[in-house]
Amino acid sequence: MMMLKSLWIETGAEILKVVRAPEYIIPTLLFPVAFYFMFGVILAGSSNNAGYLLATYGIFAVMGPAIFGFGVSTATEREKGWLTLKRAAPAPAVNYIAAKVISTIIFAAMAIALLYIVGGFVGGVELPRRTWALLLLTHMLSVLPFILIGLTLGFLLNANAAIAFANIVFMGLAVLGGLWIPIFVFPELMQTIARFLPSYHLGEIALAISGQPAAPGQGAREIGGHLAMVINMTIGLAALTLFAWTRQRK
Amino acid sequence: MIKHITLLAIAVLAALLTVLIFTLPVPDKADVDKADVNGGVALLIDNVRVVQNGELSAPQSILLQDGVIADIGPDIESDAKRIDGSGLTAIAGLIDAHTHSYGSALEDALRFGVTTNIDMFTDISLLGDAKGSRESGAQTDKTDLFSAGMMATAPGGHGTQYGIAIETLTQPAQADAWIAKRKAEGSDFIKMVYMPDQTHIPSIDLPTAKALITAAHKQGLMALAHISTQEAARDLMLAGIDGLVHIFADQPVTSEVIKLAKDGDVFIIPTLSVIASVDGRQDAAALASQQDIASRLSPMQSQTLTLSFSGGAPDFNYDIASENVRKFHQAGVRILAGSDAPNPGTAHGVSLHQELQHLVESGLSPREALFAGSALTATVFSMPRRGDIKIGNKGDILLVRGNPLEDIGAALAIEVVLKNGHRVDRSAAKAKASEALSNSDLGDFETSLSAQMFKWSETSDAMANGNSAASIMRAEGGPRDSAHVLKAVGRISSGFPYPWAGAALSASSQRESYDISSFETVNFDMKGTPGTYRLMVFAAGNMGIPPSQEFRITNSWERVSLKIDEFKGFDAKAFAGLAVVAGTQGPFEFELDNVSFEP
Repeated sequence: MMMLKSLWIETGAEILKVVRAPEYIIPTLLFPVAFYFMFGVILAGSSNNAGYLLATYGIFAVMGPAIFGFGVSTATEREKGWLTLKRAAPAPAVNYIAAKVISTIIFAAMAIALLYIVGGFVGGVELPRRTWALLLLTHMLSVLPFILIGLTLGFLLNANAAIAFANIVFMGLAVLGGLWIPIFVFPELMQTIARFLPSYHLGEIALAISGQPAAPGQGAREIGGHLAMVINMTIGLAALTLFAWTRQRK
Repeated sequence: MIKHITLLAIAVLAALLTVLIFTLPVPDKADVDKADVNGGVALLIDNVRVVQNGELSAPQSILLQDGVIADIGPDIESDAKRIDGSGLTAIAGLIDAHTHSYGSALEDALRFGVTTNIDMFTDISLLGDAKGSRESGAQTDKTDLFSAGMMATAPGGHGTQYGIAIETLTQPAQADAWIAKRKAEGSDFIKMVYMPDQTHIPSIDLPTAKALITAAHKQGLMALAHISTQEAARDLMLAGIDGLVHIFADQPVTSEVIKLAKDGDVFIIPTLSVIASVDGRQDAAALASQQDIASRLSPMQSQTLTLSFSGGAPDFNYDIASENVRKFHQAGVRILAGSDAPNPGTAHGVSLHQELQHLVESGLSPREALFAGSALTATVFSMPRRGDIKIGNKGDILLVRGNPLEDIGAALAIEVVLKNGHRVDRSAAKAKASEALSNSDLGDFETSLSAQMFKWSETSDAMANGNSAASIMRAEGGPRDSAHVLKAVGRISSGFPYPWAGAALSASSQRESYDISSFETVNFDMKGTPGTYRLMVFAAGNMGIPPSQEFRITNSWERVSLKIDEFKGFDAKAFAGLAVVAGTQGPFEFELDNVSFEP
């Protein structure tokens, strides 16, 4: 009970922080939808891939708030001595992480909502209601592996290095995971790399849910295998994050 | 305070996301159809429970391609256009085993999920087209048609009253040649009318009926019969008839006749819907008033559903009919669903659903009733690739809400009709919006026999092979200060079931109709041979018996006023003309003046 209460307070504080200093989060919310508007709607041309890109950009959209908004910011918090205080405080470490996860999901949902509004009302994407709902759920839960990646970077690196590293990881996950361009156009090697990235598997799940046709030469899209990969990766990342929490730079 | 922020944020976000999900665009059904037309793209129905061979499956997918069912199963790989079948049940397109298709029949039936009509009498000029289109897998808005073609009846017998030329017959010796001709014309089977025990109408005799059955069998065709009594049914069962196209409703079936039916493997298409209508049951009108149904009815369907048989008939007792169906069914005699649309009180498509419900009332389980309206009929009439959802069958599928195997009413809860693998537009053919008729004057005959967009001409049953006649002219005289009138002279002769002759008003340009719904009455001055006359009204798109009202006239001028809403089944938004006709036999003469609508 106490733990739960402290979790709500912890999460409330995270949200309040963002509301009071929105300049950290707003760019990460607007960036994906601006990109999507550019490549999915305006420059879509005759290929009409607004529907395809909506599925993958939804994953891209949650990566921003997860890695930058909440994950890497821990490096700054630590350098300011805040985390030293936290570790001494009588609240479990896991609450600090869980609060980050919950508030990330809340803000990521806003990024997704913006994306859907542009995709649906401007880009002309039409999906059955059930599919919209399922896609939203998928995109929101996609936050999990990314926030864990962000937190790990934040715990292990100093503020400057964390941001630099986060940029590389962020771009790598987006491009190599096939969120911008389908990976079947990549060389073999890059396609192999993609299979080790959560962004690729999440993208495939979202594409399958939104009923996008499979890549040429592939069978029908399936969800099970990709979901298993994502779950395994998330568990691994969670272990890594807890390890990083205990090993964070002083 | 801070901990409430979390809950508040989550609540607000959840509410906003829910609103978003329900406002985001969903696929427009019409777009799916357009894509179909353009590319002949396949169609995949997802997550749908399927009634196959009388059993309901777990949700799976059905792939439709090139007009047929290409695949059925849980994991179908396809980039086809999708129809989300969640919450829906797929059943095979229905088959109506007793219809008469003309006018908008084939489109009307299809909108209500009947994908095959079996006509018990059709104008033979339609048979060639019907055969071609039912074998084609192309997109169509029409139901497939099988037919008896011309029916076998005696001169003046039942069937001759519709104004379609019929080669009648009177002797057994004519049977072989008669059947050969039907076969050459394209009849899929033979239907005869055998009513020897009816005094009011002539019929072929038993030897001729027997000869027809033998000849049909010799030439590889099934022989079916219209009968109205148990006695007639018994005669024909003994003679080897294959099926009856009505149940008899004059008396409870005897065990002897049940045994004859069973031993002879005779099937029965009871047409309880039309018997219910003759017996004065008003179920059709109730059905027609249901919102989802009413909005999909064509003008012809609305009219025929609302009409009723005047006066009923002694041999049409619905309760006896229903009980007879129950007994035959219990004994194992095959019962098929047929509506006899578009007789008064029935309509194409809609009434097959009525019939399925009547069959359930008469002891068939919903599963058996559905079978009687699909697979069983397909088997009995040897119509391959119909009646069930199977790979290779025609892509004729209905997606309905609920489970028709438990509640037959679910068969009418239609969400989607697919014909030849293409989605059917289920909105009723809207009659062209008619221009409102502003000038109410339909003829004062002062200068000519025409009035604004209308003209007057003679009309009689001669146009339907009757023997009555009429001629009209302008004449001097008239009531009050009128100087000229329309004068009609003619004779009503027997030889037609509903004889008529008189004067008709029709729009000067063909196919025009007018909205007269703002008027309340039609009025005219009339005098002539004393007796009963009728005013018939015509609406665009209606091909059945026109609605009419009776009135009497005398030798002196009198003003007649008839309420427009008392013309039962008349669509006042599509007025196309009217006719003033004499109804009693013998010579007549009348003068007509100052015809007008009044508000």
